[in-house]
Amino acid sequence: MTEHPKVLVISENDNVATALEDIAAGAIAIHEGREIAIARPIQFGHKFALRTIATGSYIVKYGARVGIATSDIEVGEHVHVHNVRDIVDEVRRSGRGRQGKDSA
Amino acid sequence: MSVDTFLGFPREDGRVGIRNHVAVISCEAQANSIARRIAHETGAHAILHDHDGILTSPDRNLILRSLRGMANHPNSGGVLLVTLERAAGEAIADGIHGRPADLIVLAEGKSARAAVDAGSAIVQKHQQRLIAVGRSSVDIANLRVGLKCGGSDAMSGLSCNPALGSACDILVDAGGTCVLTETSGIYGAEFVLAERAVTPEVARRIYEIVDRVERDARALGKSLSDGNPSPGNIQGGLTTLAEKSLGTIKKCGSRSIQQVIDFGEEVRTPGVVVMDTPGLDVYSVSGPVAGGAQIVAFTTGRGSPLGAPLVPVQKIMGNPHNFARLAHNMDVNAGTIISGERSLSEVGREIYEQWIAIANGRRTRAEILGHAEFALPRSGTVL
Repeated sequence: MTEHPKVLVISENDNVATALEDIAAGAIAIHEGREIAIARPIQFGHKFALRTIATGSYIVKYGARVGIATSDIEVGEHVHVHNVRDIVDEVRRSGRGRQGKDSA
Repeated sequence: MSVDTFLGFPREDGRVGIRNHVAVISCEAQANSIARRIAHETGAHAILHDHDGILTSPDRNLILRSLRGMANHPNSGGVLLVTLERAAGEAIADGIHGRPADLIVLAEGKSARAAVDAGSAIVQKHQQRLIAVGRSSVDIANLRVGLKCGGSDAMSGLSCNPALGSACDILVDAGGTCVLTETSGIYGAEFVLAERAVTPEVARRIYEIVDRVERDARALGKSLSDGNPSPGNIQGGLTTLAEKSLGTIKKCGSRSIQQVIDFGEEVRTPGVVVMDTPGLDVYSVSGPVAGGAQIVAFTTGRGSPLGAPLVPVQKIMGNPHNFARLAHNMDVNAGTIISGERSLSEVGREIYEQWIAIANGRRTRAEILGHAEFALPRSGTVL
């Protein structure tokens, strides 16, 4: 019987997990009792999707938005700079907009 | 439910120390060597910095506030000020409350040898008096912990930082205080802190301090987002700056942000407080120390020998491979989260319980090794 790879999900709302070891293609990761098939290798420290993430949807880690998917991402697929763009400018602006309303 | 307690040293101003040191404070850079020699001869803690002309400095307020904070620090039971000019020493002494403010003035014809002898005699007098001061049991709510990450790596945001955050949640729920530092590290995740602010004014202050750092960076032709995350970060698995910054601020846990305070300002409000400090390690440790934090929790992935005078610095290592190499310098192994041996909350509980042990007198590795750095930031051009 093969062992499942070690992975870390920081917050229950996250749609990505982080590999705590190099994961080989064909491995099965377990999250909340659910099997997640890893089709391609995931390096130690890198992320993979726990759910399907459609183009334009948020990547959620630490229970917060950390990026936007630039293509459709399948369950178990590597999530990184090739399919995610940063949202730092957007969240900095939107946060200020909200805060501006509060103080108005 | 029982309340956690520790055995501390209650001070006249109502705060509680966890150490009973004597502080020898150099008021101006010219007095550093004398202060260091007095501390060396007596076993007191020297507080040194590189500012002089402090009364006419553009950083006057920061310097006076911070050195008064060190003079009143609850982890010391006595203080000696060493100064070149009398006026500089008296400006700091004016802010000392509830304890004698002895002053050695070097510019008034006192030789170095005479100054060291006179200063050592004063320190020894304090040390004799402090022998009789015992510890008393106090509520954990009296504990204020500064938070800093330095020498981070790809593991930090997964292991040591969230584990420290979990410890902060326990302390804050018990009425204690955590002080988040390093304003530049908040960039890209400030909205998360702002959403947790107790009032719109606190949220506004969070945006304000981050915008100021970005403005300062732009004035130097840079941006905090340039090359950030770095190629090394990306190789390690970090995808975006928002992700990296979230990993950084994770060390202050998940509770409400109560207040934003300036560098070295006294920490008074319970809960999570943000102190506006530069990102460099020595400043972001010195800031909460001057603000009266009794412990600084320092997370790292690659290691850092930094310590502080008066205050135990607790090292929390997030990388299991580096823990094996640096065990002698580390207090907590959060790398066990990465190796899958322990959960985030188990390590968080260990960090919190170690705070109680440190408060009760257990020495951290930085204390045992005698690491005791202190520095005050400097703004603008030096004339």
